[in-house]
Amino acid sequence: MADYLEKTDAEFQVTGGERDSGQQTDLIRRGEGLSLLDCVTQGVLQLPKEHRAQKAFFRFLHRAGTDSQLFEQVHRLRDSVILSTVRERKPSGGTTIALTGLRGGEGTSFLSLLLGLSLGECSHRRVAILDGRFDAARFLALSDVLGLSQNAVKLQKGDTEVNGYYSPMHPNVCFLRSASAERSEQFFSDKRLGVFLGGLRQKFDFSVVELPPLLQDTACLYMLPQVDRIYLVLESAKTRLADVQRAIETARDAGRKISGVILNKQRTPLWSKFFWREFFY
Amino acid sequence: MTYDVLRTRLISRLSSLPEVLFSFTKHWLILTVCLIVGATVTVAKVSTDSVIYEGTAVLLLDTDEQDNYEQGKGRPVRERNAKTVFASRARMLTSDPVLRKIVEDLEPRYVLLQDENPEKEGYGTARRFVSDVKEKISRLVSYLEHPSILDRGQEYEIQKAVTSLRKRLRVAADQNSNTLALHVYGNDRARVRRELDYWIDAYLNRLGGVADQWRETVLGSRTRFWVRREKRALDKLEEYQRDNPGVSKSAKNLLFQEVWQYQLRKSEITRALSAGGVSVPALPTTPVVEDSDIQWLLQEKLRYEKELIRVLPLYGENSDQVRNIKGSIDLLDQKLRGIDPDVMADPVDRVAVLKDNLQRVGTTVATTMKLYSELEDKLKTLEDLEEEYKRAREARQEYELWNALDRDDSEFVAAQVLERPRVQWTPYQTYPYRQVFYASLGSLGFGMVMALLFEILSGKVRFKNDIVTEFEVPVVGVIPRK
Repeated sequence: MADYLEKTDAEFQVTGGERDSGQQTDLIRRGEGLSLLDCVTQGVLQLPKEHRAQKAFFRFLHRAGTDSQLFEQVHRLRDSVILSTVRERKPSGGTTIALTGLRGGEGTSFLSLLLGLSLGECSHRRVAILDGRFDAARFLALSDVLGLSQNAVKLQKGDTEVNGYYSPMHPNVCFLRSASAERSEQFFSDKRLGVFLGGLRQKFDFSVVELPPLLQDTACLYMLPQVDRIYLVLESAKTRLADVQRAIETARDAGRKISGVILNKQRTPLWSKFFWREFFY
Repeated sequence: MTYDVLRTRLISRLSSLPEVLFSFTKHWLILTVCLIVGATVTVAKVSTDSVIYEGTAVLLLDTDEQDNYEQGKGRPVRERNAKTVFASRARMLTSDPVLRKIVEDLEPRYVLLQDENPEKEGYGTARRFVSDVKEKISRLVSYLEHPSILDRGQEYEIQKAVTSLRKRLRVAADQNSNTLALHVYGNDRARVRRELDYWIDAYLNRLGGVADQWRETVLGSRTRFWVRREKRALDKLEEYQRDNPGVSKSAKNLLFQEVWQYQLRKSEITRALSAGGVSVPALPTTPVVEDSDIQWLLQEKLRYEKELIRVLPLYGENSDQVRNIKGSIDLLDQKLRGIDPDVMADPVDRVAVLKDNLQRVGTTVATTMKLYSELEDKLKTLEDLEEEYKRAREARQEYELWNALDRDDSEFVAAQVLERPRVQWTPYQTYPYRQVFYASLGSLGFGMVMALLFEILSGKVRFKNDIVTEFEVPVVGVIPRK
């Protein structure tokens, strides 16, 4: 692990806006001042060459850091999730939150990561982030950029094992990854998925699970009845209302009610900066 | 998309001002294109419009002439709504028969010349091109209005000219002053003047024709009314006479004489009885032929017998006339029998006979009086019916006489020219800038409607309101697009 960290230090930098890169890296390592979300969004990310394919994703993350409105909305989303959890007053265990798109491309990965990191700002709450699409390349890039290392968290799901990765400076945020090269359908169709989710609830206060698109991948259907909250991620001006209707009916057939909708990439006219802003947000 | 979904979207997307404003903002390109196209087309139009002259004339309508026509003769007529009459007269100005008459009088080609642009020869390339396009559009519109384009006969030309004329005419009706202001527009002053003159002539002719038709209709119906009334009265009279054949003045006089004779007889018998029937020889013991009374009675009997012979074959045995005559003959016989010498011989028997006669005569008088009063009533009814028939006949004859006289001297004046036709020397102001402005506004409005239509029919998620109204699912976050 020490070799890995040294390697990452040599290949890319994380620098702050006002602080120099050395100070920033040092602060992140010590976990002082900046949350993991701040590190991702406010820092200058340099992606290693082997992860060029993930350049677009990290560019989004980087741009998000400069958009105060986006941050405000992400915080509001986080607050609504926390409030709903508080209202439910579960006697024990954490809350499992699933985010899913309809046909892909709605920005579910981006939003689930931002939501997880935002929840992780509450340093006394343990947060797990699981990429349900098991994009190995993105996970590697993320672990390189954030300097993740495997920790002691191990969750058993049948024969396979799900490992936890974390940044030593922010141990409350844990990125989960299946030890075997399972695909979404294999992973979520396992009969012992409930056991895995039970373990997840025991170990973490919030578990953010990004699910495959609801209308394109059947893997999502296995997960629907077992999560605590499910949010549909829609893309403004692109997602069709008929698809939303279908998704809601599918969830209802699976015995779940959609907890809420997250509207991504909302376009607003110029005049909304001056009046009727609340109509759009 | 079901009807319910469409209705929900229509309500939710049009009832909110931000939604509407969002639609216009989102489809700003449509609005801009519509605005530019509308303004450009109008600019092209006004820049190639030829100079227009306006000709005007004012007509004064007499909307009450039909009512006067009837009421002047003292005949009750229905009240006509002056407003309706005025409106129909105003419409008549642009009716097909009037316009057709103008075109036929002026020649269709002459009228169609007003559609051409005499200034076209002086135009540059761009304006000439626009003029050509306008002509093509005009031809297309003409084809759509008259699909029988292959018919190149006179009728087609007339139809085209009528359509052209109708587009260039305008009527401003003022009911308060009963005036009609006629406006004709065209590119040639002289032609406009002629068209105006012919228009007025054609209209006045048409009014006269319509008035004649109307008069024929009304008079015919009135005549039929009076004839029907006379026939009805005659039918009633004849029916009554058929049901009561014995009702006449002569029958009444006869019955009156009968009553009078019975009364006379009764008074004589009463006088004889008061004298004890013995001392007073009330009646002669033997008939004295030389006696004037006896002679009169015999003459009367003879006359009644002759009347009976004449009436019996006409009315039959059971008719009232025959019965009356027979009754009179019996009465005369009784009177003649009253001087029977056998009765006169015994005074006691004579008193008994007198009493018996008095009783019989009293009964007969009462019966006859009743018959007389009934006959009098029937005669009154008959006289009323005769009077009614007479009045109806006289009314019909009078109406026919008046009708015949009126046809000769009635001159219908329905409208007159209040202001002679005149054509302005200065061209008619068409306000080109205003036209462009209004057209731009209109095209912008069209663009707005299109934008709203697109938004209503849009099946995409636009903002959180769509989710909330259609699915009632809470929106927990809205992430802006960077």
